[in-house]
Amino acid sequence: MLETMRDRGKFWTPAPGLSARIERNDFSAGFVTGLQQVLISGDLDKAAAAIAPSAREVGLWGLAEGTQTWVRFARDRALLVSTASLEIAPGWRDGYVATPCDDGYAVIDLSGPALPEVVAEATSADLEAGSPSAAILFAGVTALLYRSNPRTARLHVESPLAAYLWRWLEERK
Amino acid sequence: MSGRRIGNNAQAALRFTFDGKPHQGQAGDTIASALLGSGVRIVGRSFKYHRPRGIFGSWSEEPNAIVDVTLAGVTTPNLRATTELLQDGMDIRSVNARPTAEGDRLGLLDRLSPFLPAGFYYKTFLWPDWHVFEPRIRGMAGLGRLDPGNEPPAEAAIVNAVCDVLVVGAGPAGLEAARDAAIVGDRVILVDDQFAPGGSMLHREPEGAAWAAKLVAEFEQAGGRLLLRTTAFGIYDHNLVCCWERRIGASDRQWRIRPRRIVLATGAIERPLVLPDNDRPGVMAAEAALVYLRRHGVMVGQRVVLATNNDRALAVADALRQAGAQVTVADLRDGATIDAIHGANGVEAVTVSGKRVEADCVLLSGGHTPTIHLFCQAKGKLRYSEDIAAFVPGDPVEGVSVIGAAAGDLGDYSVTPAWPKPGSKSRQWVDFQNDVTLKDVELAARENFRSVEHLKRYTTLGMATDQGKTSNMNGLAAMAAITGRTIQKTGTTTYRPPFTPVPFTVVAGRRRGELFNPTRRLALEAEHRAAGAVFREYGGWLRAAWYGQGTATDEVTREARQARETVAIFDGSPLGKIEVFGPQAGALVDYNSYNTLSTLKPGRIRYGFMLTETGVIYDDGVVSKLADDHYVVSCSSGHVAGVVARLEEWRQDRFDPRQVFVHNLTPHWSTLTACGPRAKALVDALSLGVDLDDAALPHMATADGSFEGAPARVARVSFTGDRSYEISVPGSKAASLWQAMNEAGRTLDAVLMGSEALLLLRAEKGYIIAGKDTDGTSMPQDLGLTGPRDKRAGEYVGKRSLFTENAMRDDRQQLVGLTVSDGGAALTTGSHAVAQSGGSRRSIGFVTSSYDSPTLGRPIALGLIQNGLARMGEEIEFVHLGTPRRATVSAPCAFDAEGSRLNA
Repeated sequence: MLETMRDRGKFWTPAPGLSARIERNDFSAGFVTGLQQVLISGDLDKAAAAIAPSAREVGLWGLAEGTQTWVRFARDRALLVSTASLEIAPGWRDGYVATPCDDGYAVIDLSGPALPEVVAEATSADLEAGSPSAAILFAGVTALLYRSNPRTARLHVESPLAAYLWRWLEERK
Repeated sequence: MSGRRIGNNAQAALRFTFDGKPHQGQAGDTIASALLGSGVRIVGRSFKYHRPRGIFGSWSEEPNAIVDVTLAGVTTPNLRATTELLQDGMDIRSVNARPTAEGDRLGLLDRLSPFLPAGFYYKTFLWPDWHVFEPRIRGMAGLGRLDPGNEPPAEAAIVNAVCDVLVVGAGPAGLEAARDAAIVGDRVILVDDQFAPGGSMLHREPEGAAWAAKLVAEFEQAGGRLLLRTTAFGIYDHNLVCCWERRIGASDRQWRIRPRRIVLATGAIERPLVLPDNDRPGVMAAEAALVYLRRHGVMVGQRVVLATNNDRALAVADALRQAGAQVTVADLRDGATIDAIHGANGVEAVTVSGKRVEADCVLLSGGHTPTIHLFCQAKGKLRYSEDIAAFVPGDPVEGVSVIGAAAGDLGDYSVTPAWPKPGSKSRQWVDFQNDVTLKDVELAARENFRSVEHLKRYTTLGMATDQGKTSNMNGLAAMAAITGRTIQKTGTTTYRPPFTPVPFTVVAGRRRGELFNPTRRLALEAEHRAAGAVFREYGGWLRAAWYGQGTATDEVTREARQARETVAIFDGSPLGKIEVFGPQAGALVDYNSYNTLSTLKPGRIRYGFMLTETGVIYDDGVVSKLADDHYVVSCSSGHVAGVVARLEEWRQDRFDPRQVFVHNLTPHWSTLTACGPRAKALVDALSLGVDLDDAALPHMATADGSFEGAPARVARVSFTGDRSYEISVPGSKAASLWQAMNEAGRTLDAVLMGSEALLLLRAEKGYIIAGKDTDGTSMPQDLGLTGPRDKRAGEYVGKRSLFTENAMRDDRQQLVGLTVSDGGAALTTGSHAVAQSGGSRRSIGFVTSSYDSPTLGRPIALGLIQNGLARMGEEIEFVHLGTPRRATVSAPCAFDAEGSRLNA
């Protein structure tokens, strides 16, 4: 039995490093590093007031501004994303829970003239209509999708699935 | 005489071959127009009788001209010649013909046709067994030839779009509707499967192309999007419309369009007249002849007989005459009849109203049938219109409107029905592609297959790749005539997607190979690769199975042996790390588990099961209590999503969702395990800031430390039976921890261990893998764990199911160890345990796990055996692929039953 097992490491393209880039004439993609990410559940108003009162909330295809953003993806759940350092201990507060998860989500920025086409191939969501929740199926896996600037889409995808998503982007003709 | 090119010769010449003979077409040709322009009459053989067939239609309704096309070394089978653009260098082969369509060796089958009516195989090949004949018949029945070397790339993108209005069909009605909607500000997508917009305007109106271009310009200026060569092939739930776009120089695409409103302007299809020998090469739809003349400069015949029951076809006669053809019109409305069509290999003459007329082409126009397939797919019902002798859309469907010819609006059009007349002695074809004649319909009626759905299945009428576009109406009208019912009462069959055959590549999109079923990847994958790991998918993750270049058995044995002797380093990152927070966290994890967990002291861990509502073991794992309002639920790597889902379900449905929350932090943490007698020494060297003394951190305890400034959780949990430490750090610190553990392990003779060795070691201990050593019936008591069932108060998932009659049976399959007693090698996993019953064998269970244990120097196995816990010491027979073996039932734990190595 053991001897008949194939080395599936040869089938799967090695996972990319965080310095990997996709550069095409009409499209580019790269990992974003150094972001602080905190998963918040519960009373989001209370959490916002306590943790990041100036942070703006974005949903699907919303435009993030400033150094801190609440990326909402459920009625009672959001990912606080910050370029500035956050000192938040994991645990239950009165009405909400916060857990740092900087390494839980890989962050990928997509840009270029072909961005609308790439996004249209990856998701069936109506981006113009938007949604309070930034969570969608992107290329078949759950991801958070918003914009980090007007022409750049930002994806947060669970880190173990980043290699797949990268491959999906890389293989796109 | 046959078809010939009469105009447009300024276009670039394109060379191609058909059945090995060279021909020449021109830019803008379809394969069909090029064949007609080259004088080719026989383009294929009929499906059943191998009768010679010529081109009948001009687009997707074409029943006859199916071809295999080889271009640049790639062969694509079963293309419809009428919808394929000719390209230079195409090698085109007819299907269902050997060696050529013209000289098909199986043409003699037609002489056996009296013995091959509809359903003949149901009757003829009953004895001795249909399966004796089936392979041969199926081999004969195929159409195109599949090229095993052609594996099309999985690059057909699936593109999603949202719009206010989707218009299907860029003919006159569709173009105007699309333009008007765009001008008032709607987001409009217009799709058409043709090469150019305009529909019938392109061949019916001299200025049709210019008119279409003007409307397209206005449409696009208003922001509309036009997709040509794009077939709307299916309407699905919530009016999702799937379209197949063909592109030149790029891969096909599938569009998934979600419009607020669908406008169907899909036109109408001309149907043939059901007449004697109406399938001869040279018999063609009248409208198609006009298409070939006006769009491609191809005259389909020189001496033409046009038979019609409507005045729309008369314009075709005029156009052909103007182009130089001799046209005899047989207007059935005036009493004319077509008594016979002569010519075995192509039309030579026609008997019109008793008089023989020399001819090389017969054009048939039996009226126009609105193309209502998509309307019906959208759950639309049809009504029969006496005015146009065809079915038209009935009551409106929400979000869908039908306009133009598709709605029965055929302009200045009058038709007198000329339906098939049963009782004829001649052979009259209803369905060209599937070789269904009027006699077949009559036979079906005689045998009481009178519903159109039964007619379809018995005769295969309408079941070919043309989906009966030219045959359905005549078929049901024939059945109506035979049974004496009205056409409305007779009804139609069900229209289902796709409207026209769609390649699998387009349906599948890019989901093939690595994109088909993505695995999750470890933060340390690069490190495992560098260490020489051989990988395999476990529970949806790509993980190291073992390390090294030796044989699998040697490497796994080496790792397992060394893990018992020194210390092994194992990447356990995929194991679930689901954190539950809040005042009701303890109540939730208790409810989720077979065992009570909230009674743990903070910093302690307990092993247990999660059950389904039917009491079956869903997963096993450990739960750590970090604080009264903070638990970490671990589970099998493949069950993480499922466990998160069940925790969320019960959180929201049973508890106060403001008092308990579930965070799946499995992706955030990487976990490296040190296990074996030297594990403590290795972890000690990492300086994690955790007191590793057994009094402070005993087995089944957890403590928080730090590693390179990041949090590090240390848990003493063992899946090998040896002293073990699971160290979890954020993924970005995993590489550093890996390096530190490898460095620390160097002096300890540590070994990297893959999943296979771990599976072996846990089997030595009798530790189960849920789903491998349990099945869809296993309950905790089947593993001898009855404590919570017997003693635990309060509710938990699955509890009630543990007390059903089935759950209490005493002959349930129970988990046991198996010791090989016949001196042979390890049992084969899956082998059946058998008991003799009335002279035959009866399965009483099976082997779930089996290994050669390097620790014990003998084979070990686990199995689910009927009433196994009461059979300790009993020798049982096992069978695998007919080979009998023997093994003795024993305790599942084969090594260190007292557990002393956990603290060694």
